[in-house]
Amino acid sequence: MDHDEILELTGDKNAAVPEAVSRRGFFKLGAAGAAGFALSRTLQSQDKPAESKPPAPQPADIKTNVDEIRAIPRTKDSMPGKFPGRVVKLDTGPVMADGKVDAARVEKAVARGMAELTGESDPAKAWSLFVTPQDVVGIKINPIGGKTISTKPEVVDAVIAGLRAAGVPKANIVIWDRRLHQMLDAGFTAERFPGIALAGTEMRGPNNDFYDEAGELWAKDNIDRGAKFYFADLEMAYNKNLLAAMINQGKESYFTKLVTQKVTKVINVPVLKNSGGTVTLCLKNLAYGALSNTSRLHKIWAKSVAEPNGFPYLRDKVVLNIVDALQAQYDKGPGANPQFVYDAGLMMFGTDPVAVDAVAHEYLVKVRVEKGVQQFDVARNREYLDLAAGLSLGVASGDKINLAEVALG
Amino acid sequence: MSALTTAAALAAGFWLAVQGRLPSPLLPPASELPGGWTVASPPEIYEKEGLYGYINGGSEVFLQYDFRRVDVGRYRKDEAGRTKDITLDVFRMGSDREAFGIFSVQREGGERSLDLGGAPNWTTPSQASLAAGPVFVNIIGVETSAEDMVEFLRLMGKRLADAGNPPFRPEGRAGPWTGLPRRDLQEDTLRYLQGPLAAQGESEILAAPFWGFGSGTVGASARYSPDSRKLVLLEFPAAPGGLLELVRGVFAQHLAEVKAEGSVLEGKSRAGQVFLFGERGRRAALVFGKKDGGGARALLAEALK
Repeated sequence: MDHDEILELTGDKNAAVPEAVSRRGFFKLGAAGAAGFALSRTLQSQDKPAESKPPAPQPADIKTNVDEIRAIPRTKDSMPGKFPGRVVKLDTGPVMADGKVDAARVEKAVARGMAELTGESDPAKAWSLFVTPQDVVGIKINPIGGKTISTKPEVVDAVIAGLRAAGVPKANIVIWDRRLHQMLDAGFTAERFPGIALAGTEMRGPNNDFYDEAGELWAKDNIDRGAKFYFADLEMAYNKNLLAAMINQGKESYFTKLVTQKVTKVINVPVLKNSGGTVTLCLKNLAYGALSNTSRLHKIWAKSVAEPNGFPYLRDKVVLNIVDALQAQYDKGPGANPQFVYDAGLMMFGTDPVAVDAVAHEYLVKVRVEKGVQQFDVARNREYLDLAAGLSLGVASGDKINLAEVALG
Repeated sequence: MSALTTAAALAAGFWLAVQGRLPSPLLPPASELPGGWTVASPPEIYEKEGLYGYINGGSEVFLQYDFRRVDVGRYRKDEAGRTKDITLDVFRMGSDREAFGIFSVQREGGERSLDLGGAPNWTTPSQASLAAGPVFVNIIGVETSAEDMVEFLRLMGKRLADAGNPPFRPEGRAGPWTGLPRRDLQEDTLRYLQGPLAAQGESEILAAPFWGFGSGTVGASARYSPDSRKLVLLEFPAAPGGLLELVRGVFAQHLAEVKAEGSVLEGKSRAGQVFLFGERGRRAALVFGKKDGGGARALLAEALK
C-alpha cells in the first residue's frame, strides 16, 4: 500500500499541519460557547435529593451477533497465533530519565522480548515468523492518554525496526488508531515518522472539522458498511459532536476499512492502564479501536471488549501483541490521570492477546492492592477474558499460560 | 439582524477565534494566562454523552455524577528548549454536590493544596484539580513544573470565585457525610459517592447490584487516623430489607473467617485486612481496617450511633 492509498482512506492531507480555526469550526464552537453562557446562569448551587430509579437492564440480557462468527473458518494466523498461551514479561530496568525515554534501551528490550517469545535471537528471523515483505502491516497504538500515558513513539520505532528487518517496506507500514487527532497529540506525526503512513478512522478534514461543507462526516467512508459488523441490541442517541467520534449510530458497529480492506497483518501495541479493577489492554485496544459506534458498548463492557476480536478482520490479522508498560497507570483509568502514572519498567510480548491480558490483569491488580486502591480481585473483572477464551481467541487461566519472566539486565 | 450586523458579528467572532478567545465562559483567555503561556488551540466543548468523544470509557463515572458539559482549553509555553503543555478541563456538573463528588473520587488524599477561599483543591507538578459551585476543574500538564500548576490552579480558583461559584462545604449540608464521625477524620480523603462506579472504586464489595447505587443509594467515605482505616457510610432511599444476608453472601464470596456478632458482620481478606459491616434504618456502614480489628469495630459503632 502506498502513502496515497492511506491518504485516500483517511482524507488526511493535513496530518502534520498545525490546526487552524475554520469558519465552520468557529460557527460550531461559537454556538456552543453561547449556550455555555446561558448554562452558567442556570447552574447554581443546589442540593438534589437522591432519586429512586429502576435498575438498568443487565449486560447479560443484551443480545449480540457473536454466534454468527463462530463458524467462520480459521486461518493459520488466527488468534491465539503461533504461540498460544505464551507470554513474555520483560523487566526493562530503568528506561525513563527526566521524562525522556531511553530509545536505545527500548530497542534492546523489544529485541530481547521477541527473542524470548520466538526462540530466534536474530531479529530478522524473529519478525519474519509474523510478517512477510508483501504484507501491509498496521501498528495499532493507543494514543488516548496524550503525552501523559499513550503508546510511546520509541516503542513504535523499535517495532518498525523489526518489521524493516523482516523486509517490510516502509511504504507498507501504517500506524493507526481510531482517532487521528489523538495520534497527533500523542506525538505520532508525519515529521516524527517520515515515510510511514498515519491513519485514523475518525478524523478532521482539510477544513479542520469532522464535517465537510455539505455537513457530511469526513470519516463516513472510513468504515466498512459492506463487511460483517458487530451487532449489539442497544443504542444511544448521539448529538452532532459525539456522532463525529462515533461515525454512525444505531445497533451496528462497523469495522474500519483499515482492518477489513487495507492491512494484511496487525501488530498491537497497547499501553497498560487500569479500567476499574481490571486492565484496558490488548483486547480493548483492538475492539474499541477498530469499531465505530462504541459509546453504547460500554454498557456491555466485557462482551464488547471480547467479542469483536472474534471477527476475522481482527482474529486472523493480529499476529503479535507488544505491551508498552514502560509507564503504566494503576487507577482512575482509562483516562489519563498523571498522579496514578508510574514507571513500571515492563514490556510484554505474546501472540495470544487473552493470555497477555490475563497476565497484565494479575500484575496490575497486585499493584492496585499494594497501593491500597483495591482490596482483592473479583471474577466479574475477568469476565471479558473468559468470554474471549470461550471464542478460542486465547487462554485465560493461569495454569494454561506459559509465562516467561525475564530481565533485560 | 441586518446583513451588515451579522457580518460584523461574524468578523468579530472570527477575530476572537483566531486569538484563542472564543466565548467559553470559564476558560481563561490569552490575556489572563501566566507569563509566557499561549492558547494552543480553540476550546473544545462536549456535552452530556458527547463526553465519550473526549474521554471515551472514562466518561461513565462523570455521567453518573450528572455531567452536563466540559470546556477543554489547551495551552502551551516554550521554555529552555522544551515545550510545556497544559490541558484544562472545566466540567459543569448537575450541582455543587456532584462537582464536589467527582472531585473527591479523583483524589487520593495527602496531596498539596492551596488556600483558594475554601474551594477544595490539590496540585502536583503534572496535575491539579479543584471544585467550586457546580464546576470541577482538572488540569493536566506535560513537562510542567509545580509552579506552573500552582499558577493555573490559582487562576482557575479566582475565575470560578469571580463567576459566583461558592465552595461546597459539606458541613451544614444534608448528605451521607453527616454521619461520618469527625474525630480522627482525614479531611482531604472525604468522598461523596454517587453511582455504581464511584461505589465500586471504594471496594469491590460495593459492586453488587443490591446496594442500589444505580437507583438512588448514595454514600460518603473517609479515611481515619492513625492507620488510615476507611469508613464508607451508605444512605438508602428507603430502609432495605434482608441486607445483612445479602452482604453475608458477598463477604463469604470474597473474604475468609466471615462471622456475625449481633448485627455486625466481620471478615478478613487474604492480606489480613478486616472488613466490617453494620446497618441501622436507612443507613449502613462498612469499615475496611488494617489488622487492628478493635479500632475498626469502634469506628463502625460510632458511625452507626
